[in-house]
Amino acid sequence: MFDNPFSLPSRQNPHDALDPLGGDGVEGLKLYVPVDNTETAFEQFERSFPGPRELTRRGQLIVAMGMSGCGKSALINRCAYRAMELVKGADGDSGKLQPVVIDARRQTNNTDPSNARVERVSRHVRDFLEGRDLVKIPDRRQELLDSQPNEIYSALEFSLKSRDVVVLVLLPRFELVESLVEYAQLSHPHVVFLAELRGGHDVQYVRQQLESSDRNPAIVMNVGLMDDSHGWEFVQQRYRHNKHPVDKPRLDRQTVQEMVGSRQQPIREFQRTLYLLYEQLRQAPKPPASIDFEYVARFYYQIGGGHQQGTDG
Amino acid sequence: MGASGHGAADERVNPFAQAALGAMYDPNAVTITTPAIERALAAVADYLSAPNRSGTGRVLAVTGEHGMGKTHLAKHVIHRAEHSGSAPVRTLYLIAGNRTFVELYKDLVDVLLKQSGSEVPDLVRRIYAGIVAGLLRQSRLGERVADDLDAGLRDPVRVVDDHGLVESDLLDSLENRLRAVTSNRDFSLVLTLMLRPEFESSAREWLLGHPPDSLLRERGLSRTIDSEGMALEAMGVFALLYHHAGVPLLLAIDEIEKILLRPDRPGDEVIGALQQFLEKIAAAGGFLMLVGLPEAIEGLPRPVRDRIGEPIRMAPFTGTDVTAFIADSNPGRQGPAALRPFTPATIDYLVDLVGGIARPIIKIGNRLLRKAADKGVDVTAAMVREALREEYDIDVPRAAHREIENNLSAAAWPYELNHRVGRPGITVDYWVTVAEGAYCAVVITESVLDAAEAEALRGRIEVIRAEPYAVEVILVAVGILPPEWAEQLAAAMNSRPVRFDSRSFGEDFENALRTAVNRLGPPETAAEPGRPAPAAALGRLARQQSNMFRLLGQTTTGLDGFRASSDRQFAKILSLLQELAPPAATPEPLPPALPDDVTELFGRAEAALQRIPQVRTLFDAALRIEDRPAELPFRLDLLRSRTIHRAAGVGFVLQEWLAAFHRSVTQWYAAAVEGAPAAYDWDLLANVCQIFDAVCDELPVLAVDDLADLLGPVPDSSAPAVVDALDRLGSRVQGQMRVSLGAAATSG
Repeated sequence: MFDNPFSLPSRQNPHDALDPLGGDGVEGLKLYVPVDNTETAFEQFERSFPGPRELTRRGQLIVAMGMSGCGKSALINRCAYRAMELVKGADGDSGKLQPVVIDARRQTNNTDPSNARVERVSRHVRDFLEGRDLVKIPDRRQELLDSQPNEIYSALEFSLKSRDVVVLVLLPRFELVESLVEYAQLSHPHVVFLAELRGGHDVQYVRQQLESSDRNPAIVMNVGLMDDSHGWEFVQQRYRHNKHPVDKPRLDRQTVQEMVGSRQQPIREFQRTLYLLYEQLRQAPKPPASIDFEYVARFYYQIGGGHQQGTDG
Repeated sequence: MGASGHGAADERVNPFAQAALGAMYDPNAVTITTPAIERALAAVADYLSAPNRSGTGRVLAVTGEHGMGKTHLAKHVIHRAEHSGSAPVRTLYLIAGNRTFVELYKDLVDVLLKQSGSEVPDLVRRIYAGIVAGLLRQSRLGERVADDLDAGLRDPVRVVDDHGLVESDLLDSLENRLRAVTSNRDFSLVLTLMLRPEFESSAREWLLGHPPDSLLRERGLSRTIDSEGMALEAMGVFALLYHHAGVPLLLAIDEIEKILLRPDRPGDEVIGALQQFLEKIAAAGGFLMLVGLPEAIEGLPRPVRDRIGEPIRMAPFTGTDVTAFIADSNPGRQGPAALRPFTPATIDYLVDLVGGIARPIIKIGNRLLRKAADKGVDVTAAMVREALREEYDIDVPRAAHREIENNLSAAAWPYELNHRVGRPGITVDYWVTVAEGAYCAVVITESVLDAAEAEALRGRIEVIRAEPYAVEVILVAVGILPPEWAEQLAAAMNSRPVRFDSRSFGEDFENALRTAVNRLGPPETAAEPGRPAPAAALGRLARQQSNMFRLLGQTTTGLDGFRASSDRQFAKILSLLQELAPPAATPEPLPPALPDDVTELFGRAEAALQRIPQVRTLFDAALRIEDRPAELPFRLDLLRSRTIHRAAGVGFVLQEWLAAFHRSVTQWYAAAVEGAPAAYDWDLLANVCQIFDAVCDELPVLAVDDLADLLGPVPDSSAPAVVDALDRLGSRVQGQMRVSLGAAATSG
């Protein structure tokens, strides 16, 4: 049996986004393919990210936006990793800067109204920092923070035990621009917010809304859909990275073109289809040598329970 | 056993089944076919031949008096629609009752959302499936999946999830589609959210008429379906939704007069909304039946009636109709045997007595059949009369009496029970004194079932009208009063008899009484010239006035309170005006110093705010032209700090606010020490102190203390924290002032 070229090692859920900060580690960085505007967006981030030392004097909001399944999470994870690296290597006032990453993405659920979600995240940030002895919050502030948890960010200015700490907060996914605006207003020194905004919002509108709330311009990146050239590049990269044997079933360019040509796909759909396809191929007693479009189309129909007679594999 | 063969009668079908009374529809019961019924059935058959076509929806009105069989017809139409064999039709039967369109809407949505479970989400899914299929068809890859979606074989939500499609974009498309279909932003948003498990509950609650929760409000939804206009709009949206999902909708609203003819009738806005609802039904290819009293439809404005077309008016049944109905119920029998235990004569007799109204025909027919079967005899005219009296002349009169007495008492009309008039004396049930020499005679009659009874009743009326007073007669018929005799009696009284109907008798009697009173003319003209003002009218006025005085007495206890409060307010206004007066030309004397304890409170607060000058120092240092100390770059960074900005801003505001409070209290004290402060003086102080504290509560006072952490400790380290110094300062000043002035009073 051969390995699935579209899977990632040591990963529980094969459909999760790439995450160099998490389980994928540094190796995960090699899996990013310049498709659907991802590379352009990342380059924009690298150009716009402030000098790390500047972050001790101002806050920063970083937003990845786009339709669902287009790679926002993977992009934000990459940006978070890169931000962490940049901060770690930079000089602070009394030594090297120290990045602290707080993943708050699972701290809320969609049934909480916006203000409740913001407060949950704030409480999580406070708990995290206090739990690691990174802050010393004055007693008179404790009570205030209990009732107004969002004050934690302004409190960091004088509560951090080390002024060389930069806190990177990965925020839960948003659907409403108004929720992002709240975070723009909470932006304070030593805090970098990384957020995803789901949906087909207008990029200019989002930038305008964020600019009116914070004097430090937010970094707003937009990701989109893949076309057939992206699809082919993606497939080839996966084959190379996972050293997919040449004698094992492979997609050809024409097949990929037909898959993604007439309808642009989000990367999630493409990746998922190919992953599941190869899971079936791996189990097949006699997998085909090559995979043509008809084979893929038949398989695509089977996803989710479609039945047909004479299914190969 | 009679010769009628009543052993066989027990095996007969009883066509007057209870189900035909409208409480429960019996689809197996034979229905009398009249021209009105035929028209209604033809209309629905025409609709069902090509239902759900845009712009071809129908609105049908079925009208008639109570008991004419409207409800039965409505249910019959629905049954036909459900079993027509053509495409499935969603039918709904709603009763307007004594309610509003809002409550009617809630009944509708209760059926669609609660009783039917996932019906509405399924409709939305159907539309969503079309959208997802449309996306997949853009390439050959998803064609077969698209086919399954169009055929309803796959759930579109599941397909999007399984295949990793662009859910956000697809849901946006769904919302846009629903908005185009319904022309309603709120519904398109909520219906789309119904497909997302985390929002389904919020969406359902809103559709059920609850205010939008925070999840919906932050998405821009602010309205609640709690007005007549909104309810009608919502019903129209559902009609459009069903249409777009390819499901014809047939809706019957019974007793529509209960909404349209309420005492507080729907206003122009609601009628406008009703018109739009009817237009949406037509646009949505739906079928709407409005069932009710004729005046409910006839009273609608022309633009609304134009949407309905010619109403189908239920006509009274004839003897021929009922004869055919009975015969058709027993198809295995011919001739007289088909009608037994009835005969054409007894059928005609019954129909004539009840004026052809379906409900009493059914009720009495049922009673007669059972009685005839029990006794083994044919139905006779006497049995018909007996059955009518048993049905209508026992409990009904009591209800009528109650209603009449309630009416007369509410209007404060004096009346006498069982008043005797004429020779030989006849009894008038209620002799109402309208004015001196002007009376209203209320006569209650049970069923009038033959000419002799009608003649006797007419005689009574003539005796009453022959009295040497101005008398108007109101005849209340609590039983059966055939139309022919009703006309004769109306001619004798110069007014129509009032038939007792439990649903409307109160209003009917009130109208009849008003008409009678108006006919009697104003009180003065009813009296003989030269006589004093009619005592009866005065007495009625006196009773009404006593009620008014009682109400006035209840409010006078509040008048004193109002007076005292207005005095205080006036004094306050005066004080404010004096404050606004231009400064006096001569310098004013210095105000007296505040009591020491109060001064100390202000002193501590002012000391706490000395941090503000530290900010001033920082600003000066930053912009100093001379040599700059080495630590200044760090301090310059502080100038960019939001915390500093906020603290400084708040601090400056607090300084000014505190100073203003200090001045105000000083001014109050100057006036107060001239004499012992009165209650309203203390009220004035309390007012000022409360306002001061309320504003402090709103300011982020704690922010000022942050300056200590950023700028270092203040020179006077004994100064309290700002938050402590200002905490309830107003309340403490007020309390300390009371103590101080109270102590001065006792010592002085």
